[in-house]
Amino acid sequence: MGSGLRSSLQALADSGTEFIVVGDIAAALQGAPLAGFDLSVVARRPAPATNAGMIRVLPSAGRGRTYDDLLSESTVVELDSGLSLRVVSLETVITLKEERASLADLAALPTLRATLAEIRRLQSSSTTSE
Amino acid sequence: MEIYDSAGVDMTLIRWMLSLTPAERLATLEDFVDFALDTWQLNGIRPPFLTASAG
Repeated sequence: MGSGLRSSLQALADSGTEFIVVGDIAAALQGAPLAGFDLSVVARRPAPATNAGMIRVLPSAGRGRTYDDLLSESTVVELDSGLSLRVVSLETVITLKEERASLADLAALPTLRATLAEIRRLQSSSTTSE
Repeated sequence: MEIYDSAGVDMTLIRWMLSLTPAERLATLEDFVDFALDTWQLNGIRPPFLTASAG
């Protein structure tokens, strides 16, 4: 059994669905070494109970944050193959997990916060070395 | 450079993940998910996250 994670994201993008990647996929794309199963996206106009393979297509995340709510907190990540994904920031991944606060979400928070701190440290050292 | 932060998080894993491209990071997550799915399937276990809510 394979998850087809990447191919599912590609198929979703090819379908014309406007979506923002949240959860563990968003975290992993930005460098957090999470081994979790919060494999979700928030769509602008999701059909009822829509899923794309292993990926859940949701109308909102966290405390009811919709696509439009999350748009300003997202950036586009380009994959090598040309697939472009709109992804919530790592700060927002943390906020959404704090809001939902399941045991799995809370367990992921130390790794997410440490990743964010490391990114900021690298950015700071890169700025000071210029 | 420390190996663990104050919360006990392995920073070497984070630094390794940050050294990858986004496509490589996604492949890493996919490899893990596939491994877990195969393991559950071999043991006749339904993946618990299939019924979880999302955030």
